[in-house]
Amino acid sequence: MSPGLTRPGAALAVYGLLGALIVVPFLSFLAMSLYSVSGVVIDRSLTLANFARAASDPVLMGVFWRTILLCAGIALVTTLVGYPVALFIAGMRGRARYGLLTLMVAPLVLSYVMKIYAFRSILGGNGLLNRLLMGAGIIDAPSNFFVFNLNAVFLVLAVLLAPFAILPILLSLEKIPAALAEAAADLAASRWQIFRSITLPLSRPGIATALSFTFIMAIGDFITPQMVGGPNGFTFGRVIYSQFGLAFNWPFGAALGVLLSGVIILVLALALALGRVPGGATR
Amino acid sequence: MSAGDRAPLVELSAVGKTYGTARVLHDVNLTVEDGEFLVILGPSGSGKTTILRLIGGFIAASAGEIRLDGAVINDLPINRRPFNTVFQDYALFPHMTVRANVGYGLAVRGLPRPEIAARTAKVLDLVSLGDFASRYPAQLSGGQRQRVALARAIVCTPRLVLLDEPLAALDVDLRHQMQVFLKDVQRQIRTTFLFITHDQEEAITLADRIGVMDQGRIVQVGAPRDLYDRPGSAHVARFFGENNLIAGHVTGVSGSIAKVETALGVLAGHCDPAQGYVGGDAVLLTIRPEKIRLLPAGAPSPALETTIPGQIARSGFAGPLTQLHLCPDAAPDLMISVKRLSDASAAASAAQVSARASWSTADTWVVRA
Amino acid sequence: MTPSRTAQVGLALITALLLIAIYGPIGVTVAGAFLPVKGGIIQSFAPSLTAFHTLAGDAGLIRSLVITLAVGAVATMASVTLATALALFTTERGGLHSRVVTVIVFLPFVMPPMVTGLALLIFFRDVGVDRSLLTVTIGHVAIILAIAYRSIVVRLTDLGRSLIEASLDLGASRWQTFARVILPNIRGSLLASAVLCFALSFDETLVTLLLTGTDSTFPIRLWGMTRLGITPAANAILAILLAVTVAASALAIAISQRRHAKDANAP
Repeated sequence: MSPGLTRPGAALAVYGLLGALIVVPFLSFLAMSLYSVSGVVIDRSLTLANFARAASDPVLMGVFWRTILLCAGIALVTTLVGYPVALFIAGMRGRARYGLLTLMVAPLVLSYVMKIYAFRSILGGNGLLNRLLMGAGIIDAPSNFFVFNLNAVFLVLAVLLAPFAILPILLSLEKIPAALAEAAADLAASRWQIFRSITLPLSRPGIATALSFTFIMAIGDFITPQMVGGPNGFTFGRVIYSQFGLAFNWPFGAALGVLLSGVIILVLALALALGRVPGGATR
Repeated sequence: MSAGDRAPLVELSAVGKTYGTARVLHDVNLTVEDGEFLVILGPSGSGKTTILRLIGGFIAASAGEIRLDGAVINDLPINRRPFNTVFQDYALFPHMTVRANVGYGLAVRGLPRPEIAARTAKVLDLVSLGDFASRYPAQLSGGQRQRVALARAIVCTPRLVLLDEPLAALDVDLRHQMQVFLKDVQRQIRTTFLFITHDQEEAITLADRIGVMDQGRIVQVGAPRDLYDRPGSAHVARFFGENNLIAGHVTGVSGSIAKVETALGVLAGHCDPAQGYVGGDAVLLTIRPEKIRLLPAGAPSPALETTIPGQIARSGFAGPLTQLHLCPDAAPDLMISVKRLSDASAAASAAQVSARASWSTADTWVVRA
Repeated sequence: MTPSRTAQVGLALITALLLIAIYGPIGVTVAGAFLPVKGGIIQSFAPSLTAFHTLAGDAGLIRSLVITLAVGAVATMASVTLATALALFTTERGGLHSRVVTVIVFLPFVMPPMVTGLALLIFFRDVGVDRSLLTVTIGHVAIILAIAYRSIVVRLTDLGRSLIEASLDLGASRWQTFARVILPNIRGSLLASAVLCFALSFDETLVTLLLTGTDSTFPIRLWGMTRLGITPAANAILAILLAVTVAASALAIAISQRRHAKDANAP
């Protein structure tokens, strides 16, 4: 500990503040999951009953796994679409790249609720999408494929989260030294070979980040499923939220929240482990 | 140069520094005399930077006391110590002009503007950067930044200026120029300078006194000449310039002459009587390469000198000096290094196959192995 | 290595399609401010500014906007200040402190807003604090802190310790060092992260939903409207906001680009 800008008592203030703002609330959250509710009163004796109940409820577990599958799918699709877009942007220079980046980033700060609302109306029975599909002759009558179900949730989240897949991949692509591709070309590798053997492996951290970020954002989202999911599109997030609303079972809701957090921490750990560049260099 | 009986400006007593389990400084005792140019010399990791940072107040000592004018200042914070530092990376404030940088120490003290302006201008003239006052650090060369850092440190008239290997980033020519410059400035303003470096040539050029460090300890302190001619330990003997070190055992001592049994026979060496050498002590007989002469075959052996016959193994022309290596007949594994001014006789010696190395006992020095 | 011509075209196509998908709903929203739009289809080409006029008269909507701006401003200032203090602490103390603080600060950011919001909800209930704009603001601070923190830590690390040491060495007090040396050099990061923090706070919906009392921010108002139908006045607000936020994010990028260029010229 070297004398400098911070006072000796700073540590106390820092950890006190962080404790009150972040650590204690999260601990309370954890604690709540171990309580139970009787009537409208919360019984603070510790119990694992909530977790047991969650695990043994087939409907709940069904929603849980379906949500995980859905979000994994979203993560996959956004990354699959995001990678080529990131490549495209990475290949641009100067003003064009700058402009494209701004185009990608700008929508992120526009009202989330509004975007979903607009999407919902486009996806509706009389909406733009159906009109286009009918006009193109792909379908004869308006389809309900995207009306108030998990498909709608999938599509909306995939589009809205796309920039979150593109940015990390772009970042990791930019970290790859140009000299490597040049060296490979010098050794007579084709463009495709260069991509497959150099670009792709070295962008692994970016891919891992893209997959994990989009998954985590999707699985934690409540607004989108609530707005476009309808009764057929129930996600785990909506179940949790309802526990804090009408159902008024905070301990149970907290337990489900802990479960969700567990999944997220697992995904983060996976991303960290699998997201290493092979050989460990050039981070 | 010794300051006589004047009290030292800064004094370190039994100072130690430990990081976790790593002991970086052991029992360091050092005095800094008022007005001197003291150089702390040592390889990286020897602890010299640590000493500087301890004095400056950037780190706290784990043991021992640091005194200024006799008063203990261990707990005095950085900004209350009357010392200023020239950092290795110069640490110039990038968002301020040269003028603002140099005047910073005066400005934070709340001195009146006219005074700040006057003193800043004066010191910028001293370092010949008067025309650059309105430039920003990013627009200056390495040498210029160096001078700004120096100006910034001395304008506050500190009791001691700490210089943390300030010339390390400069190329050779510039470095030599700056060495001369620093020495001049120090003499002019008569402020005490504490300068750390790993470059022994630099140390010898600049220092009034040198403190040699090795692995967290101060091994010897003295004027450059004394360290060169009379090293106090094998480490210092090896460290400074090139030296011949002949291993052996003491067979007898009389006054300041010791008899040492070596692979080349019993040789006489000059020694420090205070060391108290006794028979059997493992020692090194040192003799500087430039003090050795090469006698051509057939020339008479001079009296009162040690003469070693051998074969010339290698010779090389190195500009002003010619380097020769002699393999003694008595101990072919040993290599005696000889340096002569590159004149005709040196060339002649280089051309020989066998020769005799010769030196006077007065030019030898014995240290413990 | 730039992709081949055909690959370029393919990539461009995918990018274009994605951009259409992303900007479709936005376009519909903006159009709805000027034209009657239903189901994403423009009903009639009779542009008008009635939506904007209605907006001027919708006191409730305007009030929610003002509340959102206020919460955003307070949360941003609090986060940036807190983040600066934390960043100074961790860049100086380093090691374990740095790791622990980073984990704690990033926890509410990495966890979905639902979890953070619920944690704070439970906490506030435990300590007996009623839900209000204060709890909403605290919730926002928890979420956006990480952004400011990261940005400032990176900048401080780049700056290095020796500037602080030099300032102290020359006799400046800690406060003088902060004000004269550190602050001027982190201005860019502060500004950029403030803009980002504000943008995030402005649109924050879920945590706000969980922690809101009787006053509602603009996103909550919108949320309430989604059941019955969002009025064109709201579309009008969003058309205005789009213009403002595009400018804001371009500004943030430009500032950080310029800082990078400036530092690239330094030694």
